[in-house]
Amino acid sequence: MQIDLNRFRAAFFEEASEHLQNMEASLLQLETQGSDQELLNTIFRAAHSIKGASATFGIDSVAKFTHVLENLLDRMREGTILPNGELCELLLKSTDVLSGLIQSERTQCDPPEQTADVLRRLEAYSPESHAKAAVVARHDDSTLKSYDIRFRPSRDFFHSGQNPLLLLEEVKSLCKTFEIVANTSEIPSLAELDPESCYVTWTITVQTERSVDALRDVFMFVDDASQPVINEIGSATKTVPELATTVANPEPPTQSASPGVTAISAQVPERRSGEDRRVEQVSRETVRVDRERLDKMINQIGELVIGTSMVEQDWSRVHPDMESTALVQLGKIVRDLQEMSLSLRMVPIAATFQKMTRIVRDLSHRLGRQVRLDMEGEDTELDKTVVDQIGDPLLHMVRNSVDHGIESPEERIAAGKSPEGRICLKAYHQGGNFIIEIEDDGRGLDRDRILRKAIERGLVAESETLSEDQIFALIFAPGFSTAEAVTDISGRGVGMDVVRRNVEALQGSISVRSVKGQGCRVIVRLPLTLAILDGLLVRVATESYVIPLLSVVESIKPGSSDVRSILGRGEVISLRGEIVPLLRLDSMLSLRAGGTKQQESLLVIVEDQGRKYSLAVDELLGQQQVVIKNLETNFQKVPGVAGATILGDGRVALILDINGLCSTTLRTSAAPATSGAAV
Amino acid sequence: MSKMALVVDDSTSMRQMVAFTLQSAGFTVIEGADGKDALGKVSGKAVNLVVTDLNMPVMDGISLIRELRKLPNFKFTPILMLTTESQDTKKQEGKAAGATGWLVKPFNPEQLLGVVAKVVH
Repeated sequence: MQIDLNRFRAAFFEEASEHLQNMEASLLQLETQGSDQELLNTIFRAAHSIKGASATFGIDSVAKFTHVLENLLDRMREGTILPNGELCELLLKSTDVLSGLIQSERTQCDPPEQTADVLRRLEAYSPESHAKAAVVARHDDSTLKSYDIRFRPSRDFFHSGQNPLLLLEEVKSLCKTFEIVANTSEIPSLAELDPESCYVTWTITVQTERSVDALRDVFMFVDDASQPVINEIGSATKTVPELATTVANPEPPTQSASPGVTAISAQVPERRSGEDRRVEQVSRETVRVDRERLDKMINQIGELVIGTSMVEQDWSRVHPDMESTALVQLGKIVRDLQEMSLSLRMVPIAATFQKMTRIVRDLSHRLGRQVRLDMEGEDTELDKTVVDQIGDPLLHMVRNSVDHGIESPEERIAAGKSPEGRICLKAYHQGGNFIIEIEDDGRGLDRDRILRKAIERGLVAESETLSEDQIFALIFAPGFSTAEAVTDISGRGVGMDVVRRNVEALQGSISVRSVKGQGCRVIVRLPLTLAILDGLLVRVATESYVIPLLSVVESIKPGSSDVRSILGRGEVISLRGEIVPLLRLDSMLSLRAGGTKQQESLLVIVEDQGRKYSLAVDELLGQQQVVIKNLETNFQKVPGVAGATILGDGRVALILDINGLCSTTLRTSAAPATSGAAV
Repeated sequence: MSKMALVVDDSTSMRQMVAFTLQSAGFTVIEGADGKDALGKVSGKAVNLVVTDLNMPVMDGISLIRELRKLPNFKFTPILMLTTESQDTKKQEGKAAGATGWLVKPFNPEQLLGVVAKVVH
């Protein structure tokens, strides 16, 4: 039978990354806590697992590397090699290389450059014994020989799950001639007979071209006491009884003799004496599911919700005065189901946070800083898609904190702070949002320097007066980087603007607070899920639109005197004394033909990154949860539109992207750095 | 009635591979993520074959084999353990605990079925 092992590779890759993460976390702990048997066991076990599976799935580069790594870890576990700073560094590098090797297998890209170097250094620590080098090839003799086999299974033979008949069948399959005699003389009387014991013994005479080892291999699983005695008939040199051979012959079997039987090695050279200790670990009960399937299911449940609302509407049209209890019940079940389906995608942020430990350690070593990384709320759950995509922006911000935020120990002492800086990663839920905070107690943002640089770069006019928040927000502007020199730590001028764009792509927003000399706090606000949205359904002309509820502040009915035109900058309204730009959705979306002017019937005030805008609409239709359908998959990206959804009555409504909408319209007037994503 | 196999390994990919191979050989497969998990899933069931990894969290393979052999249903069940070349001492321990045979990692599906044929009718 041919089974394609490639189908298991994806599962292996995922599993291997998890092992690597565990390994890295334990190594970092090892580095700070010093030698600890439990940690060493955990690290060893991870390497061991990766090795076993990678070898099975034919991923040789990984198997080879983990083999060498495992050797070294085994010695550490035994206490022959003690962990030290240099060794920890090397082991951490090894996890990098491993993860690079896995990545290269996954994406067919080149293996990491340092592979050979790290491998060499690992080998230098624990040179492998050459015991295994001698693989003795054993060939079956092609001449026909006769053997006498005496097979006396022990009484409790059945208790090891053995079946003597299967063994005898197998011997028979290897031989040209096969004569067998069963000796039943030891079977006791029925009264004394224990049905669970084996009383029969066999004497077999065979002729075979196979070697005596091939015959012995048949009995490889049989316990020592039950090993058969095999003698060649008519040969002067009698074969040593099997009992002795088991112990004395550590030769690996050949692959050639009989596939499927001898290929499974019975005796393998003793390469190390390490005993595998059980590593206690909290086991989580999980089922791995292909993400595509999961998404499909969640999508289908979304359709089910829509379908149910359609039935509900049909019912109320046909029976306007009657409520169907069955339908109410169904509606409840469907909505529970939807809630449940959405929770399936939720995973804790812990793994992403965990990666930062390593970054902070490496960076602070390199920069000569002392930094402690604290974490809070690692168990907070978030949509898997968001978790996967927030890693890079987060990494960048943490790097920034170490590089720009935390001062050198001397500077810190001079500033009256403890020499050790502190970076704190926090995750928590707030309303429908997932919040990540990156806080450091470093030097904080320098208001004047940011402003000076922004003016230099032409991001703001010298004459402009900006609030502190607006100045800090400038660090998110494209092309703005506070690094004096471009370092490989803070990247090449791509800075917080890339972070901002990444966060916005996730429908999130980012803001920063800072007190000079005391530290800096970046707050990232993300939606819990990208699949569903609380929206305000509005009508503009004949079309329905969804405005993300999180950006809605209020709805007002303005008096005609509240609306004013400002030359060249469009219209504004005065909202309790505050001047707010007015956006006419109908003209922006080209809805009303012939230039008929919309009545100022209703204005929805939305907030986007601290700035308010008012959107003129014709009617508020209600508030509802909508399932977001991506527009790009079926059509293309439309500026100002975040996606589409299907309403309860089957009609399609576009979901407005407030940020896109406002920034397109107001590009000329708005300050460049104040845009941020809505939702 | 199809034959029933219990496959125990904390590595999902390995477990899936063993399970899939056995399924294609006509077995119905029960999967366990560790010894304890497996024990919970087979109580009272008749199983024709057990394939278990040794190095697992919570309850390792050796303890699982010992526990299984105590169960009346598992007195004579063939139990194969998955070992690596570095675990020679484990092999002896496994035998003592009541394992029927073993497979050395890495192995391929054909080798697995070859060994299974040795112990299951």
